[in-house]
Amino acid sequence: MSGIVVVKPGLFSTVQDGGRPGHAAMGVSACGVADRVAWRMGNALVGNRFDSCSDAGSEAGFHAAAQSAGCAAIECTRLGGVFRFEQDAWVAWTGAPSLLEWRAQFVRAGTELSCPRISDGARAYLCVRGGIELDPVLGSRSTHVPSALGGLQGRVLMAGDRLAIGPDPKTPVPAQRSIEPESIPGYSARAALRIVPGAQADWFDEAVRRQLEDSIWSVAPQSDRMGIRLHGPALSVPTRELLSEGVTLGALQVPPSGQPIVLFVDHQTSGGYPKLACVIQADHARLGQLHPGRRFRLAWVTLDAARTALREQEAALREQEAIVGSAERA
Amino acid sequence: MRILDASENAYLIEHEPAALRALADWLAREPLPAQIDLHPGWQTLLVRYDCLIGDPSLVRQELELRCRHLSAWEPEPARTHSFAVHFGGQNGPDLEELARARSLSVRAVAELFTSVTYTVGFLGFSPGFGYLSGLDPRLSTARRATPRASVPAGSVAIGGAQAAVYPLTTPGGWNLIGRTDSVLFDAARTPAATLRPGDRVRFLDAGRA
Repeated sequence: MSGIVVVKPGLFSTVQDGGRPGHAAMGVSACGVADRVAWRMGNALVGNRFDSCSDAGSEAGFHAAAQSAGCAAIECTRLGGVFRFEQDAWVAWTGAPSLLEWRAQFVRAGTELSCPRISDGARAYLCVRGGIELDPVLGSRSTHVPSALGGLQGRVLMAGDRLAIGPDPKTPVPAQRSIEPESIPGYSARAALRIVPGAQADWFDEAVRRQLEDSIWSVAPQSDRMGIRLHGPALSVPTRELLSEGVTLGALQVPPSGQPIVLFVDHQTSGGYPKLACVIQADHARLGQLHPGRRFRLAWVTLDAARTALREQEAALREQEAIVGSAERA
Repeated sequence: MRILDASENAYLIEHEPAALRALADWLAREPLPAQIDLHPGWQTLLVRYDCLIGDPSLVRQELELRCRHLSAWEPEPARTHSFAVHFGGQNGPDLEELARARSLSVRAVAELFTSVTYTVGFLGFSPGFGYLSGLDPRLSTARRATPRASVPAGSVAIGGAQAAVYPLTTPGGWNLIGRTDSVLFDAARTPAATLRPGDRVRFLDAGRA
């Protein structure tokens, strides 16, 4: 016997990796992990290089090497599951900020691992040395449940499912066994989520743009991997009609109800609601940790500030990956 | 032509549909170094790029340059697809109501629907889902107030002034008038999607074949 058996699936657990961008022109969502920071650090802790596990070949999107989907992990949501290892493995739990220290551990065959309690956050990642092994679909092992694409039969994990572990990455097992999430810029801060103007920002009054920043927002219960629904004051909506157009991760769109929706990792490739703002990429990982009821604020920043924040975060991630010995991202 | 920032790492290009099709085709076959994804729309093309790999102003310049030289790019020729449709009954549960609302017979609706050639605007909503223009205005029907939780794969549908085939079983709010056995998306195929922007689509009445 080998691999991992799902003993209890938890609330919503799926196999995810870096996703399958490059196929939006066919209507295929990019999908992928909801918290890229936690996932990358978990893989680093067990010695998975960013380009390990990538045998996606021509199936991948543009620039397959640079956009490698990386190693797949199990993404648990809110109430995690229980997983039995039927072989020895190096593993790491990362994610929800309540997991104060992200730590690698060696587990023996027969060990049952339970997802740590997620008290302030939404998702945890079970990263395994060698990655979760599944046939990639369009260059990625990520599960897109709305279109039943990728992952294990395109669906959430169920009790009794068996997942294979990929071949050993042939890297040294990292000597450093833990990472402090606090060390990643912009990740653990409880500061406002930063936004830049969206494609139709100029369709909205200045007063509405200010209202977005001045209000306290909370995450509505219907939020999921497709969209994070914001609960707060109803924004006044432009009367102009928008023809459906491409949309990007983090876009904050305002439907007729005036209650904004932030498009998240499983979002459709196009949409017809005007986009007032877009959450900056450096804060996308934090979006993945917003749980229903969580209150937060939004703050406008410039495009340059958004790019600087991303550059700083990327540098810190690479530094951590180098320290634990699995750097060399393409 | 206009290029807007959609975020710190995405440009939204507004242009004529034919020009956008040529640009998307060019970028798909000769991608920019920083390019991550292309999202076509009715009158726009969204280009997502890695702003750590590509300098945003250089990406914009390259997009402007290509837009100026689109005539030099020969896009892949449009193809014509024919899909046989089983109209009404369980295959098209909204057909009778749609016909009744227009004082048309079910057969007349099928004839109007199959009498025109549609053009694929772009793909979106779900994998392989093409928005088709060209619907006879007499068949234009608002989307259902409450979307169905599950629309069977192959369902042929009308949403506003557009037609479409649902390639996969997904939720959906369009009016279902029939069903085709043709497969419009299969991740194991290359390309996975049957339709491309600019392609033509004809529907045939399977019951009259």
